[in-house]
Amino acid sequence: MKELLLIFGVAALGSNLVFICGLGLRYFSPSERTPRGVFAEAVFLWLMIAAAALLSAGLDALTPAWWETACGKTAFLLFGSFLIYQAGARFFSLRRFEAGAVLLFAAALVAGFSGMSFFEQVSYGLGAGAGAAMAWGLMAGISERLDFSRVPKFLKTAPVFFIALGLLNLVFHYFEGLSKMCY
Amino acid sequence: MMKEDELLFKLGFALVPALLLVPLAEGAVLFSFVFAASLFISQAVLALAGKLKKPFLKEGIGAAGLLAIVAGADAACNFCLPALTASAGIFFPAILLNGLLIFKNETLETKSKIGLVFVFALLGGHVLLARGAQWAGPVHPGTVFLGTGFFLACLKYSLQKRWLAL
Repeated sequence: MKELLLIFGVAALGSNLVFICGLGLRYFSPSERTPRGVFAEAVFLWLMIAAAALLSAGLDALTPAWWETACGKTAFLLFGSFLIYQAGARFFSLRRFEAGAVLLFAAALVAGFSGMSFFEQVSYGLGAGAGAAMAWGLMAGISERLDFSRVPKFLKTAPVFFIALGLLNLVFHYFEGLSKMCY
Repeated sequence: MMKEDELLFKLGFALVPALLLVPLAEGAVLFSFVFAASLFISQAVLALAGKLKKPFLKEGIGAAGLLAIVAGADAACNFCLPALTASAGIFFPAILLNGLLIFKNETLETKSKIGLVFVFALLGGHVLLARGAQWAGPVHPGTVFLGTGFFLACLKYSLQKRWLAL
């Protein structure tokens, strides 16, 4: 149990897919930035990543020989990302930057390839989802603050957003080191 | 948000994972050329799918076409250039799909301009990363975010001064 919690923590903080891998980055425009909306999207993202990881772990446990072939892995991940893309686009405004589907794709990829047991993979998927949801919340907060801050004109919107994310990445670097010590 | 700002965001969102997850310069060369080719093929596929009347069919065929392009590119690279594909890393199809989905709704003109900027930025970024790794060991991911931010600032300044147009 302790080990599963540790894997959850490492996936959420130490190897956060958004800040460490740069997948699933998202800018929340002012109209999308209501607390309720951001929370709903983050929870939806978490559930979708957990579902993708569960599917990936299940396939890994049930059909290890098929799963080992490169074609099978790629086909499954592409099919999964297609379904998730359709589901996400139907419910939320993921269509804007199309980030959610690829994040889920990466989560399934990582969860499926790491050679963990079933429960460890599910725990990793839940942690990766929680980390991604937290990252989306942080990005919404950052974009809110940046809109009201005074910066030079050539740094407005995208450049300053990426610079702020770079500084936030350094914070997550601390957790990365911590997770290496624990796990 | 202005159209140029949105394009800069999209460029950054495509550039950061490509810089972070493609580990070697050879992989970056392969990825940039495959990305540019896939961008134009996807434009053709999406234009054909766009002629359909039923929205679900249109979306379904468009998304299936994108997935087929990514799977095809991955399989072709695995078959023809196994060493280069290995150097591009296991995230190769994921980053390719990321880029294609991000620029999906743009026009052909924007795609051709932004594709060129993307390819040069990716190659230049990898040269800088390789240089940095020679001097002080592996480069921290935070540096990639900061570097992308400063690159976008330069690009935005050029757009404001009308030296470039997107």
